[in-house]
Amino acid sequence: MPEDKEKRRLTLATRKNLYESAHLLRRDSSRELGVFLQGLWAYVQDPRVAAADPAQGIQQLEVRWEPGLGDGPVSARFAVLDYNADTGALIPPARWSQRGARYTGPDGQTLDASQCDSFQFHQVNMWAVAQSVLDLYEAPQALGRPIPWAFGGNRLILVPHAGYDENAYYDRNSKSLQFYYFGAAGAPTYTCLSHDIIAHEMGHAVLDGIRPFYYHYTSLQTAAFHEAIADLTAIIIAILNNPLRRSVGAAGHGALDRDNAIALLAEEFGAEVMRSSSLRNANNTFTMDDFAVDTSPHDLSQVLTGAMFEILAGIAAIHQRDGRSSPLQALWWAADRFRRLALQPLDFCPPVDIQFADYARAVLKNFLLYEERDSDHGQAYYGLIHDVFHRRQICPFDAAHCRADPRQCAVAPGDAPRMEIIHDINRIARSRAAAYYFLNDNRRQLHIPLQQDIEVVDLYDTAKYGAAAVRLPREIIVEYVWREEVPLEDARFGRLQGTRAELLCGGTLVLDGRGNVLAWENKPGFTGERDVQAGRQRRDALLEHIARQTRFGIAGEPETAVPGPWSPAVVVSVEDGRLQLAIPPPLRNPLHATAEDEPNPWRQLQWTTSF
Amino acid sequence: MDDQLLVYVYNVGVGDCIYLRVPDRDANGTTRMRHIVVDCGTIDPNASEELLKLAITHITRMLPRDPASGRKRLDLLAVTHPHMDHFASFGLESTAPRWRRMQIERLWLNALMDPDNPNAQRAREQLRAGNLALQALLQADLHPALTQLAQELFSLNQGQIASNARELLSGGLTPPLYVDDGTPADALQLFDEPGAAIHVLAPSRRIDADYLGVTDSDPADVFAEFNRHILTAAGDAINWEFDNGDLTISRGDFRRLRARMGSRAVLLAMAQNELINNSSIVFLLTWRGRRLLFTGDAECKFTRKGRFEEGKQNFSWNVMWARHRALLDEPLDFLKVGHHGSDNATPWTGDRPDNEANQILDAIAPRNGNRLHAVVSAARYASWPGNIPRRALLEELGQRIANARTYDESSHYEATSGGNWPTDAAERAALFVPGDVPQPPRTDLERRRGAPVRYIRVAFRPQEEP
Repeated sequence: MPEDKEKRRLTLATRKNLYESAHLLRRDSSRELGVFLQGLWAYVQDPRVAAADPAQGIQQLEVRWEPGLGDGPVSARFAVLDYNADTGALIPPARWSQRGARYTGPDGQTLDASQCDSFQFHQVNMWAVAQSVLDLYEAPQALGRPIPWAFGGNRLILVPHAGYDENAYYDRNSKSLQFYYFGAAGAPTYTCLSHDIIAHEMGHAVLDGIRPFYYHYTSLQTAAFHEAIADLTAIIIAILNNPLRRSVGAAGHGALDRDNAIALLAEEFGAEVMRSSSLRNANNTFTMDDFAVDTSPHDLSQVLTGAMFEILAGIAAIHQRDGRSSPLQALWWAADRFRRLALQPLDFCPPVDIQFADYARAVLKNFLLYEERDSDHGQAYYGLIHDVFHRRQICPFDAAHCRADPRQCAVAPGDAPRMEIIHDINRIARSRAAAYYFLNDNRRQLHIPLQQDIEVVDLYDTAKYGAAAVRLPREIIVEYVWREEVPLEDARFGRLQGTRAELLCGGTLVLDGRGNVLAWENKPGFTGERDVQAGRQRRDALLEHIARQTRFGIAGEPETAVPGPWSPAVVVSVEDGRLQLAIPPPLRNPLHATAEDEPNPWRQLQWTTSF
Repeated sequence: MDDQLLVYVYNVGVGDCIYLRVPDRDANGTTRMRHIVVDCGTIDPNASEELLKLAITHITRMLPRDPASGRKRLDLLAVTHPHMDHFASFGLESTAPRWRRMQIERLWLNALMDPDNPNAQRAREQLRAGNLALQALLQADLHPALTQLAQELFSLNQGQIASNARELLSGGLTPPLYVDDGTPADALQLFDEPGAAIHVLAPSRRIDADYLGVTDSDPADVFAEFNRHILTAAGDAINWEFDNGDLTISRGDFRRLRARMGSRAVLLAMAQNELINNSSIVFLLTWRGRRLLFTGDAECKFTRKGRFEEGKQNFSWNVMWARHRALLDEPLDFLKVGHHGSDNATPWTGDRPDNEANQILDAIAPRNGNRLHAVVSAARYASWPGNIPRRALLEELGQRIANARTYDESSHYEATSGGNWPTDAAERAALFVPGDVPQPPRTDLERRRGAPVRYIRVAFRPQEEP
């Protein structure tokens, strides 16, 4: 009897049993035991790539069975709703067969490659990729904890055919990912079939869930970081796909330093809209100097994405050079290490106003803590990462300084905090209120101004894996935020003159299971006694950022009651009398002009790509 | 008086109603007055209907009676574009009959209003798609704020009043002439006097190409495709009936999602409004050395390159500057400030000196000039658009005109934008011109001076005379 038929014989009770114990099972065992759904087909790139190379075409994805699956698909964290806002159509959902434990079309047809034109295939395709991305982040090789969404509720709505547009976006307000389609009637291009685009938007949703204050447009780099993580998500999920990695690896003899399906992002979209091989290419050599201060977040993000891809390719090359594994095996080891190296440091990032250098420091810090001693090549990896961040001009330190002591790059500015009042770590981890008492008792050590009311915005502990699935020490992570007022006093703020902005301040404190500080990232304010100089620099940078938006005429309008595509590129909202800048989701697009190519607001605000 | 050209700009709330009396001397030396009305509408007919009636009464009183028909004679009625703030009076029950009673010799409508214009096919698709989407949005009533916005956009050029106005203008007065910048000069001939003429600068003859950027060689414009998609998929109406069995989320979440996505219809409507504004008739009246420019609501925003681009989407001012620079590139004597003093209809970009918009303004309204007279037909309005008129623009114009005024409204300035600004202070900073800063005469503030002034009058003698 074929293996998959045998698996379909699992009783519901057995499935529930397996579900309960799935976290104890390795992936191979899960596969053997039938933990994964059968018949879940999806594009691993997009239809254009699939047409050119079937090895990179439609394949079965692995998503775990769970109780409560329903038509849509609907699962614990997602609900596909196929609603077209332009035509008002509600397209029938894929049907869940409890008996067969699989999704089918409305008439019971199997949604395999032969059904790739049906909207129900599209629905399942989108859900399966989104679910895979969430699994990627929640896995112990990444963050090792459940990922919350940034909105009230726990189901992200997936809209595969939202309407006609060259666009797709994550919209926190409506709790949704919306995917549009475009092109001539009869042969449209569906963004919901692009693995890269789905993964990118999921990257936004996940990052918004774990760092919701990055939604505030506090600086160009903060917005660019969102884009870089979204692109990195697409790269990591792609390289972890076995057939795709093997195909790319075979074509490049294990090397990634040439254009390939993993580095090229949104190939079909790029070809259709931009007449190029992709929307963006991670295999790039951009440095910070390549982009002026008035560039767009998407453009600037390429520096960080390019840096991380270069690190991935470099790790693969080091693996290959040692001659102990085949090129394809080396690529797998590199992919496995890279996901930890790129994603686990997100927990070390500050809660607000992230800059590329903060992330670079988090990557290096995480590497020194957990990765360096796990490999014979630890020093080589560190040297590689360090050099890439310097060459790309991401590390803020000067190269000579870091050459003398490369580990300085991993050290956060300011003193390593030595707590004055010690609390039991289990008590800190118990609740946000308990964590607050701990922070409040150590304000001076954490550079928190006495008069500022701090908010514990997140508290969690992790269960992560290092190399070879070795369990890493438990981390207890406390994120806290306070807000300082910044008057917009002079004429450079145009219409906003006379109002107040808010400077988001705060920190991320990473403690181990015994209460020792593993890492501390601090975003200081200017109203306290410590770090005042750095706080003033942050304040001045924020003022210049707001003034720049004002100069371009794209800030200063309030967000309308129902924000939408007509909103300005940067909207202003008011919270407690203080202004905040944000980029409306449909408009996460090139915001700024260059001398060569000034924006046309009408076209740009309304019809540009937001992924 | 007989050798003076008179311009009356009426206070009709947010709206234009302009009357011109132009002396016209024939070859025999006999002077005859030509009477012209440019637009007559208000954005909020409920609030400003009385103002419209007063304006029409005043105009009618000044018109001569035609001896043959016994009716008041109007030589030219120019309706720049079919927005409520420019043509409401032709659809209101209380005012439309007054126009019917006149003997209107010529009626000019813009070329986008011509249902058979082959150069505006894509533009008409856009108008239809916008109407369809907006109607569906209103029907769905997803969110109070969205519905209100949709209602305001809808009422701007749809609804009963607009429908009545279109009907009257399409044949109820006199057969219209659909004009654009390619209309032959003899068709526009109004004056006997060689020194007087009307030059139509906009709309462009190539509406699709110039205002939408859609050309035969590049038809794959996503916006045009979007319009077609809606028209094809939705037919005559967008369906809002759902099979609830297909609903995979709660009704509350669905409503929120639809409200958010439904805003796309508003986007369409706003694009539609921009197109209609750009299709405004803009004409230059030259008279005995004087140059008077009437702009409708022709738009001027940031273009992609900061200047006109062939085959790309452009704004009306950029097209005019590209095609009719010889006529524009000289200081004006009169400027009807576009779009009630908002910042989307006057060629000025603030601190972007390289943008050609500033070049245009420097040409027609040089700084520290003593020739130009300008008038803003404005009113602060409690709802949308909530940003009329713009302080920065008015202050800039105040430095360029000969008839600048100061208005002390600081004692009674109240925020009225209905929450469209984050704070009252922000609204004040954006809209309020301080009492000691010169700005152009404004129909709204002149009214507040207490006298029964419901218009601003500007008189011109021939340029040749001292």
